[in-house]
Amino acid sequence: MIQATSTDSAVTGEQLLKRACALLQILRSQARRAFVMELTGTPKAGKSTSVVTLQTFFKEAGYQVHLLRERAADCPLPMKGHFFFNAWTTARMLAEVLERYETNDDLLILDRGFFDALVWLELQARREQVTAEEKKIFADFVLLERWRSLVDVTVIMKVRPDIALGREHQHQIVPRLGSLMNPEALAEFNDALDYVAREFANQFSLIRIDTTDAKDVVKTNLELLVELLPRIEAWADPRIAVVPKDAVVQLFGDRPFIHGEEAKPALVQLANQVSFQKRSEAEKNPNVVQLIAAGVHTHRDRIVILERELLHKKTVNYGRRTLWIGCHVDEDREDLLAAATDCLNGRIQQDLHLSTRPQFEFLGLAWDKTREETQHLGLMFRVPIRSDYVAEHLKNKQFKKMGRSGQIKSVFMTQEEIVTGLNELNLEPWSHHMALNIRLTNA
Amino acid sequence: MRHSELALVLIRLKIKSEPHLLLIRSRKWGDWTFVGGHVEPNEKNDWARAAVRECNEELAPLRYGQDFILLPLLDQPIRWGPMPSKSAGGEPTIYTAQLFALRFLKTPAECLSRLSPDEFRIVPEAGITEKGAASTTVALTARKLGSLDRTTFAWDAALSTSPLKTQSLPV
Repeated sequence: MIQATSTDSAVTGEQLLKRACALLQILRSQARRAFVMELTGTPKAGKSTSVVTLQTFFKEAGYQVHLLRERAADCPLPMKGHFFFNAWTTARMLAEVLERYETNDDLLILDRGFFDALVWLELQARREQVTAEEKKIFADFVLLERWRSLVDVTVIMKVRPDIALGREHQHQIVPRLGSLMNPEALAEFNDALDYVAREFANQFSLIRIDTTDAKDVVKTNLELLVELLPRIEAWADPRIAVVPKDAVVQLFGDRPFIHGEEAKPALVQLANQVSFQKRSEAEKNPNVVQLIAAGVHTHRDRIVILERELLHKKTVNYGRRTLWIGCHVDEDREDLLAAATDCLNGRIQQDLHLSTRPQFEFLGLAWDKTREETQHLGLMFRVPIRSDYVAEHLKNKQFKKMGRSGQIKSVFMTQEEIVTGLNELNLEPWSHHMALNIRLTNA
Repeated sequence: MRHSELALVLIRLKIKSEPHLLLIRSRKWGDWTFVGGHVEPNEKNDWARAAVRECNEELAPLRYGQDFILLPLLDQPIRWGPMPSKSAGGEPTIYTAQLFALRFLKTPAECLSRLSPDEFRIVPEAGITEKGAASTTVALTARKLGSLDRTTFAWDAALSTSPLKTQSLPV
């Protein structure tokens, strides 16, 4: 039972493959990490088959796919299905996700993951193997936003117990019932599956498939792909805020920056013209300018300078160093400023590993029309670091990454030192302008 | 309403522990005023460019980058007016000014010795707002600065005492 889109019988594997290939280009140029999907569900629902099928399909399409095997079989604990068993497999799975999500992989497939851990937890609670308090703490841990948000789609495959047992016994000479492979336990499992899906519906992006009546494995997996590809697309190619270039030209005139008293009215004017477009389309569209939320971190009289690797493509295109960290605005909200700071906050957490929700002080709008690259307009904020400990920890720090987004290093300098060393610093244009024209720190 | 944008450069010197200001004789009006001037249309909102241009003109032979640098003093420009503009025949004008502090890269004494003594004057900062002490622009700016919350600008950091030691840049 695939929800929403009914499968068009005309959709062929070849067509899907082509689509996946095209999607890979976008994913490689825009995504900062791998797309992560979990497959979970009733035993014998076809999960393992789907895992292998998806792996083969995406490899065929050119993706670098990494499969996180189900670890239950590797677990040395003798009591299968018990709380410590669940804790072991969950921790093992989490460790592997953390190792892999930021590599050069394009796709991570989890053969049972976060959702599965919650299903087992529910079963353990029903069997009174864990207390309500333990259940809550464990669920909260599994659902911690930091890693829960790394899972982009969860596929739940379900099958009726009798069908599951039929499939299990199909090739056995002497069919036997097991601790899970029996009608009662399977029914209980399915019930827990439904409960978790209902209870945590807004924490997962679910695709639900019931294979009870499925006769054709290929067809089931085609249907799954038809659901899956748009989800990967929406993730890799989010809709971002853009404004018409004409409006920007008119607003900025000859100015490279709008600040002071004019900044807020200019922002309101821009906000009225914001529309959302797929990022890949916006990149190709010369008539729109993409909005970038950008934050300059300051601490006392110092400004945080972020230094890219010498050979990074952004170093070549924009400059070696920048005073800001930024991202596209991909939240469609009434209040543009709030949407921008929300997006920026997420990026600060990803890049600087800071979880403080800082105060953002709006500085103004940056748009550099003197350069060829005029596709971006900056909503600039000052982000004061209030804690000395935080600042101390950020000093001369390397932010290492395994993936394609490159390393950055943070250096603290006074505005005076920046202005004096401007030639050596090779700052990108918005930073350059701000360093010279606006006081960014308090005395 | 007429608008006028200014980039003004404050050259503060500590003399006998008292802050002083270096003022230049206005060629047009004969009074003592800040180095700096009007922002040209092609310099709009890029005050630093206007300030550097004005400094190189008015402080010649001193050169930006060799003898001094400019630091923005405020996180946003100050405003005053509308008031009648002398240069526009008394037309009411709103003034927007971004202020810069000049920091000498060599000893202030050495730099100052290269300037023409007739064109410049060093005056104590206290009493700068008094009538006749300096141009209206200087008095208005000083008054405006005095009323600003001190955390919004880097006034004290702008005091030129000794040449700036540049920290060698990390590469």
